[in-house]
Amino acid sequence: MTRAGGRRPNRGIAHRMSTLNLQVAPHWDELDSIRDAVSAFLDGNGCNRDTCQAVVMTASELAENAIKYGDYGNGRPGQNVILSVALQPRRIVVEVRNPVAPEATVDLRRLDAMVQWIRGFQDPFQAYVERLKVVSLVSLTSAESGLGLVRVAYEGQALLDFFVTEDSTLAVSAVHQLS
Amino acid sequence: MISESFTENGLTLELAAAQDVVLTWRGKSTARDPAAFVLPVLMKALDQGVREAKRVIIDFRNLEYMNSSTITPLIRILSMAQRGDVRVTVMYDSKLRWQELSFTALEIFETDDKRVEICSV
Repeated sequence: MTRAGGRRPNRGIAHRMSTLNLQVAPHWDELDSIRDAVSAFLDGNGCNRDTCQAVVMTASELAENAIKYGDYGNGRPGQNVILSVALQPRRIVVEVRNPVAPEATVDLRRLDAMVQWIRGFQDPFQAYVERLKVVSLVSLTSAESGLGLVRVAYEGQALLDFFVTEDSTLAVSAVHQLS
Repeated sequence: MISESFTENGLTLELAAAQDVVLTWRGKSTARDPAAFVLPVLMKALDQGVREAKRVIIDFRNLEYMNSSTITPLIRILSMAQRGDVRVTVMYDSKLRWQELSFTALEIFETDDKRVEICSV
């Protein structure tokens, strides 16, 4: 994912409309191919290195969450992570969908609380720093961080949102405004 | 100079000691639980820094990508260093926007006497 021209302008991308759609099995190994596909799509559409890295990170963090917390019915076929990256006028929208269990209300409440908490900060940097402080106090061996979404808001410079469809699919979106 | 190299899932950590203890990160850190691999190596570097009274330099300039789970063990180590005696420098490449954003936020762990510091090159 390294390429020259990190801060050159995004070439004509502000008015370009194009969408990448991916459907992948909910396996951790698939994340490499997601990052590669998103990177190639953005590069092919004239994104500069910095935008590309920010959006690839966003897609990867949302896909990680989808793999970790989605309900795939013990490997039942056809239950996948669905990811799209849409180039729209002056913005890039990343959306990741995954099936959720009917009893996943606790996870969804946590997700809602985190999104609202991030939105409560005028500057996502402050939210990120606050989260770093919280995580630094947790035990050295604890695997939980809750840094993914706040990193998407801060480092990915993205506005987060989510909804749940009638067929129990969670859709999390991150809107990255192009400068 | 004695050096050791540790590799897992596309991430290589090189630990070398001369004037300082230097832990260089190369590749990508994308594991589901990166702490299981990186935490023991970070602890080893810190222990060596304390034992030999050397500054520990954690160098991320050659790291291409890391997921947010990678940040967790790092900030816990920095938090621990903040409260201890070891001298730690985190080095990153400010020409890479993602590194600049990720690592400037870690300045909250710097100590006034620069015993723990976050530096860009």
